This record gives sequence, structure tokens and C-alpha cells, in this order.
Amino acid sequence: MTDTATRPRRTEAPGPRVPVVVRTRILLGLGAAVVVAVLALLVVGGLAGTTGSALDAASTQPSGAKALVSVLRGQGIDVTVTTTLSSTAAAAADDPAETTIFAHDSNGYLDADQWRRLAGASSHLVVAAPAQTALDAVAPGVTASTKELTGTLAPSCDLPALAQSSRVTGDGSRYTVAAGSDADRCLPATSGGGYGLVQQPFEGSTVTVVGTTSALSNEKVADLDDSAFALALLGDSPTLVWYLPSVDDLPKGTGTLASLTPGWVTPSIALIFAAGIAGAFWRGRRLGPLVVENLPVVVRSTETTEGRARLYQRGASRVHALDQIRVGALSRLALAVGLGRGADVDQVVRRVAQFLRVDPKQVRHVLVDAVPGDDAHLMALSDSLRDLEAAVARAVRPGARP
Amino acid sequence: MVVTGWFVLLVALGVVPILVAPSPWVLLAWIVLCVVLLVVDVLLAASPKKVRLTRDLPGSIRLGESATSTLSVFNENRRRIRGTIRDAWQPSAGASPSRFRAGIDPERRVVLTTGLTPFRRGERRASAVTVRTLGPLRLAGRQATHPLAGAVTVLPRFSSRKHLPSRLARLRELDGRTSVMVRGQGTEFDSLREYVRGDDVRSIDWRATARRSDLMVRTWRPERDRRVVMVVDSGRTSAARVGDEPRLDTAFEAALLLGALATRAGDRVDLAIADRRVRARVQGASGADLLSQMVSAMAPVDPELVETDWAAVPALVRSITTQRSLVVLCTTLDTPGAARSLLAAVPQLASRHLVVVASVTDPALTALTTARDTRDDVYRAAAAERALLDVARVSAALRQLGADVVTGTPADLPPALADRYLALKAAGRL
Repeated sequence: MTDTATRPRRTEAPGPRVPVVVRTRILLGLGAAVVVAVLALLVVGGLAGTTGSALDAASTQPSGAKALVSVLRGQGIDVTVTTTLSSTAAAAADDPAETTIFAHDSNGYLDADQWRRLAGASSHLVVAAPAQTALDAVAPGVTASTKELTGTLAPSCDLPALAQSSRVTGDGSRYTVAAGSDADRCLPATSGGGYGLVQQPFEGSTVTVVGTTSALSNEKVADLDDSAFALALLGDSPTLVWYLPSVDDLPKGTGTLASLTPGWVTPSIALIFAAGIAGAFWRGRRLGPLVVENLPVVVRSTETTEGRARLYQRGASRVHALDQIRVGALSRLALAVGLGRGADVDQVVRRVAQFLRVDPKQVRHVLVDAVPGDDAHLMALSDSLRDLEAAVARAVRPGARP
Repeated sequence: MVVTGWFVLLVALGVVPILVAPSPWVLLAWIVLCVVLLVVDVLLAASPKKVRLTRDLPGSIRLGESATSTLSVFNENRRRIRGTIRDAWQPSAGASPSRFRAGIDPERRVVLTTGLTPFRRGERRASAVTVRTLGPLRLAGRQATHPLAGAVTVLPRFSSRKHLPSRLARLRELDGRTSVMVRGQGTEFDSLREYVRGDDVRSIDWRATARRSDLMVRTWRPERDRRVVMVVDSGRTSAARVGDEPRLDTAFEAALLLGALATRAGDRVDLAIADRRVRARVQGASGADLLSQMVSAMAPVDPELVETDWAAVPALVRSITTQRSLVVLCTTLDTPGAARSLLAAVPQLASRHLVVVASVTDPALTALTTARDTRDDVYRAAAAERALLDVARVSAALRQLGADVVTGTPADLPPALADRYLALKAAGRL
């Protein structure tokens, strides 16, 4: 809507231009950054593939449990690894009475109902480091403590599972049991109260809450009496289902993005879009056509001078450049000391030396003879020429004449 | 058709009913409502085509001064016009305000006043008037553009006229002086008057003294009715800017001052502006008429990016006058190479006329020669010295060919040229 035209009196300054070399470097740098990022992603992703979660039956990481599972298999125990509740139930369905289920739900995928179904699937459920939701479902009366469990613990209970171990690595979670409960409390903490293992019956099966999970891990299972503890804990029945709940256990079909979005959002977006189109028409309609104007050329008169200066500089023609300054200085000096414009160089040199009472050779050196070797020398000579002119101007001033 | 910001706001306000009752049907209903209101408002708006427009323009404006242009709008509708009216001027016309909020009752007229402060010489044009009318709801309206051409001529600034009074005073000093001052060949006998102390005794006219009882002296006046021909170069080199203005504008300033001075001095002044062709001519005018003709001739001339054809200039001068005259060439003294054709043309002119070449120098060049603090500065100083030396060489060559050279910065050139004219006049060389 505005009549756009640059004011002709303004000379346009050329914008900062990025040299081609710098642009290439920027592009190369960007490319390198992308390559590094891709490599980093690949490496991290590859590592993640071998890491696995804690107590993964196939993981060889320090937190995994491949060692324990292998030993259990070596003992002739049929170990089935499952990741969903339905497959766990199916694996235990053959002989629930002779099956132990080991469950470690580190991400909290299972809800209370699922825990109860799990407990009912076999006669013995071993829960590793359960959260309070799980405890409320299958081990009422047991409470997870916020304090960590550490140190080497003694069983101090008469569960057959712990009969052969006397020192167990106690790193993990600790649990407290409500007073009056008939639960078996084992592996009491050395200080602060709480236990590392609690076992109590639940609706016809046995639920064992194990807090000392690190005793089962690859890293610690060979230490102390951990292996005996683990084998006794998990090896009491011929079939073991090693169940690590996964995303598949999450309840399905609770909603899509569309069903979760409030009803007003989509119409509002459409309306704002319509308002945007109206706004485009509002701002885009010009109040009549522009009026064209021929702008004059803008040429600064010193343009050619600047160009010539850059030519001198690029060609390093110092002698030539200095000669221009010298010729100018000579004609000014000739006028200053009272000689005409067409005066001879030697005449001017002699006259200037007379005025300044210096050796004509020095004056001649500055005005004629010296050849600049480099730019510093050129600048020094230019400065001496200026000083010479200033000195002559001072000398010819009335009152200062000799 | 146009929509306003209120319409956009109205559409956006549809969020409220959608929040109250979230349904696509509410959205649809709101949009239909908006469109209906839009159509109604457009239909109820006054027709922007039914207006009668007349524009009243100042004839010419001197650059740097302001004038007003008036636009009268007559509403031929039966409805009131409310909305915006734009008077479309070129940007360099400096029109302000160029758009008006208008409310015009039916069969009534309003006069809209636009101030013009042009910042470029030449013809500044207005092309059209756009009328935008809004409906009673102010949601939408209609728009029409009426072609309505107009132009004002922006004359040269002639800021050098501040030098005119002092030069005219010196001209009067030349007038009627006795031979107390140096008497040149070209001075003419004017009158006799009584002797006063201080007059040169040699100028006593003894015959007249004998006729009367008092001592009488002769007085002289400068020669009159000489011819001054100014040729302004509007070629390539005149486009370059020195300081704030192109060289051509400085040449115009100098020509205007000289013309004003010479016509007061009783000389006949002719002007030609030329590059490859003659761009403008002023011939045979005198007095106040001369100045107004000169500024109108100069106003539309812009520098042309061609080399000036100096070979045609002697013929041009011959076509203006065959008498011996003062020929002033307002041009640029550049490198000897660029000045070759000028140097070739000057002898022809100098053989018949008195030739003065006036050229603008750039004060920036002199500044460049003295600032020599960094390495770049030294090279720049060298190039500037080179340029000054070139100008000096061309000037020397011109002097050798019999021409006179006047150079100066944009501020100095017009008075310097006027002074040279006065000096030539005093010396009786015209």
C-alpha cells in the first residue's frame, strides 16, 4: 500500500557479503555436524540394543540376569522368558502348582488387577522390587520404604529358601510389614528397620517380595552367598516363568488422538484459518496502484578515485603511488616557496632546503630519491612528506622567515 | 471489494460460540453469518465510482519549498461516503498527507489538501485518485481508482541567489565610476559631472570645464549589450554526485547566478543544455523573464548517461550568435583522455569568442590527500593526488588553448563564476 521507492539522495551502502570460501566452510561444517550426529545416534542406539533392562534374562550387562538364568537352566529347571501377562499365564497354565513366576516390573506397566491375575496364575510368585501398587494388590500389609537398602544382610528367618545362605548382598529396596501380620520377614536391614525379603500367602498361593534385587544380577550373583540365595529362591519348583512386563501389558483401546481432543479444537483451528485468510485480504488489498518514478543514477564523484586507489594497493605499485603524492607535494611546495607551478625539481629542493636550513640531500631524499620497499616504508615516506610540507608552511609564515 | 480489520476480528470472535457449543455446525453457521454480513455491508456501501474529482495544482515549486495541492471530491451517491481517499503522487513529490479519512454526505463536496515538498527537481506527477468506501457496519466496502493525472514542475533550487545582491552591488560600483579606478578599453563614455576631490585629474574634461565655470570630469560605464552564451553539459560526467547534489545541479546554480547578474548588467544571455543533443535552450529573453525561462528549461533536464558531443558545440554557439561573446562551458574537467573532445573544440570557440570553462571540484578529493593515517589512506591519497593532477593538467591545457578556467566546490563555483564575469567586465574584455 505504500509507495515504495528509495530516496534518491541516499547512496546505497553495499551490504556485507559473505565470501565464497567462508560459505563453503560453513557448508562443510554443517555437513560434518550432521555426520557426527548420525554416528552418535547409531552408537547410542547400538549400545541401547545390548543394554536391556534390569534383570533381563538375556542381558549380559552387570544389571542383567543371564548368569542366574543360565545356572537355573543348568540345574534342570525349565525357565520360560515372557514379556506379557497372557503368555505368562499360558506358560504357567500347564502345572500351576509346580510353577514359580518371577516378575520384575521396573516400569510399572501392570495395574492392580493384572497383579492379582498374575498371583493367581501359579502357586508361587516372586516379585522383585515391586512398587506400592503391586504390594497393595498381592501383598497387603507390606509397605515399600523410601529408604534404600544397603550392606550385607543375614537371613535371620527360617525360610527354607534361605537356609544355605548366611550373607546376602543387600543392595535394593526395603519393605516394612504391618504389625500383626503373619508374614515371614527375612533379611532385616542393619539399621533403620525394614526387610529385604518378605513372604506371605495370598489367596492360595505364596507371594515373595524381594527387595535385594542386586543379589540376582550378573554383577553380584557370584559374590557372598548370593548364588545360593538366588537358586534357593527361584529353584524350588521345576518350572520357572521369568516375566518382565512390557508395553504390550498396557491396557489397550482407551483412546486415539482424535477422541482425546476436546470437541472445540478442530472447529477453532478451522475458524482461525478462515480469519487468517480474511486477514490476508485485509492487509493484502492495496489502496490503488503504485505510482512509478524513474530514479536517477547515483554515482559518487570519488568512485573512480577509490577504484584507482584499490588498483594501486592490489598491484603494490608503491613507487607509482608515492610519486603521485610527491608530484602534488612538489607543486604545492613550489607555490609555497615562491616558485611557479612549472618550477624545476632541483630548484624546489634547493629553495626548500634553504628555507628549512637543512641539507638539500635530505630534502631530495624525501622528495625524489627514496624508493619505498614495503608498505610500512611507504607510510613513513608519506608521513615525512607531510611533515616537510608542514615545516615549509611554518617557515614561510611571516615572521618566521630567515 | 475490500474487507477491514473489523471483519477479521468478527471471524475470529466465532471462537466464543464454538467454545460454548463445540460443533462443526456452529463453525459453519458463524462463517455463513460473517459472509452474509460482509455481502450486506458491501451492498450498503456507497459506490466509489460515483464521485466527481477535480485537482487544483500549483504551477511550479522551487526545490526545497512547499506548496499545497487541493483535491475536491463531490459525492454523487445517494448514500454518505465513508472511508479512505488516496491522492497518488510519486514518492519524490513528498506528498503529505496523501490519504484521507473521508465522510462526505450525498450531493456534497469536500476539499482535501495535500502538502507537497518535493525532494527532486523535474516534473513530479500524480497519476490517480483511489476511493475506498465502507459499509455502515465498517466490515467491508468497495474500492475504485480514478485516473486523474496531474503534474507540478519542480524548479532548481537557485540557492546561489544569496550571492546576487553583493555581486549586483559590485556591478553598480563599476557603473558610473571615474578613472580613479583603472579604466579599461571596453568602458564607454557615460556622462559628465562635477569634479570632486579624489577624482583623477586626467579625467577632467577641459572643454566642458571651459563651457561651464566648474571643473567637469568624464564618467564611464561598463560596456553594455554584450552577449553571454552558457552551454551546460548534461552528459555522463554531470551525473556524478559531489556532496549532496549532482554536478549538473551545481552547473545550473552557477548558470542561474551568472544569468541573473548578466541580464542586470545589460548583457544578453542565452542558455543551451546539451549532451549528444540539445536538451533545452533559452534564447532572446531578458530581465525577470529570462530567469523564469531558465528555471523552467532546467527543471526537467536530468543527466544523460552518454558522452557529450563537444564537436557540435561550436556549431551550437554559432547558431545562437555570430557576434563575439562570452561563452561559458559548464562541464567537468576530468582526465586528459576524457577531456580530449573538449580540448579539440575549444580552439574553434576561442578564436571567435572569450571562452570560460567552469568545473565543479570535489572537496572530498582534497580531504583525501591530507588524511594519510593508514595504509589504505595513503593509497587513496595517491589516487586523489592523481585526480587533482589530472584536473590541473586539463586546466593548463585549456589555458594554453586560450580558454579561462574557473573551478570550485559546489558552494564556491557559482560566486566564483560570477566574480570572473565581473572581472572580465571591469577589464572590458567582453
